[in-house]
Amino acid sequence: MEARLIDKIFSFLVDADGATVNKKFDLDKNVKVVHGILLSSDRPRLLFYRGSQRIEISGDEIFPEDYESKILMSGISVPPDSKFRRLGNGVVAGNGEVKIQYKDTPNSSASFVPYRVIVTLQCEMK
Amino acid sequence: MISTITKRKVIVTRIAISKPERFKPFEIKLPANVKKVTGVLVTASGSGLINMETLGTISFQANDRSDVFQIWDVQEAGLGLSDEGMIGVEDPDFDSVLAWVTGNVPKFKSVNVEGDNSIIMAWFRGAHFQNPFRILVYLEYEEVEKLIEVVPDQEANAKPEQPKQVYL
Repeated sequence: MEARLIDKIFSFLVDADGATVNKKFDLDKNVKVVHGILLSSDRPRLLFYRGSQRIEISGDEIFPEDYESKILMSGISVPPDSKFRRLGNGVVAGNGEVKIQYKDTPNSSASFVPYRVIVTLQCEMK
Repeated sequence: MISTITKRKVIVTRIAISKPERFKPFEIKLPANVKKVTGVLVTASGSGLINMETLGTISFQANDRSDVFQIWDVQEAGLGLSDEGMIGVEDPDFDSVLAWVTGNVPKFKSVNVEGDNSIIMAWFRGAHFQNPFRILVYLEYEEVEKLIEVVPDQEANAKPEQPKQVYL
């Protein structure tokens, strides 16, 4: 039987230049495995040039500190199924905790204004 | 049934280039449980960098002194070539050269470096230097298999093979 995939969306605001934002989100208890991740923003230029983050799912570090956000971004020209960064065979949801430590780093290619970071997880449901 | 898990992780190494460098070596130490290196990615960022201009190259070598397994052109990502740009179509509502529009974001290159490697040797050879910049080197590796559980085969235990009876 084909797995049922659903996108879970979380977001947070970056409201200070050079700020570090620590966020914890809880996945639905029906989430079995996380198969992919995608980062986007209402101001993608800032996310691309300034963003980096550490991401942890259920206590397991997926991306270490200083992992640039640009690597996890995609584009509107990309087909929907190809947008997500695949996480191998998937990461077991475990206790469902997703921790993100996001760092905004000054960059002359993108002047700071408050922006929102949107994290989309492609999840397989039980 | 034996269940094992193999994880892939990433090491990020930061290199600061503050002056013209002809040759700048560095090392990336791998954890003890690394089975093989599976991917490499290099990005550059800094003030006043000209997009797509090659700032230099980074060469990677495994510590058993095998051949260089990857040479990477260091450039700042962000803008790129687009179909519209090449054929001269201008659309003020659609900036098609941006990486977050085209999806041409930095991506890992697959490598396969197995063996007893505790250190990856690398060196940066500078090409063009205008302003200080920062290089981030990402090394993706696979850990050794970890045992999760051993589950007895229940079907074989539930239905033991019946002795055959032969009538002569």
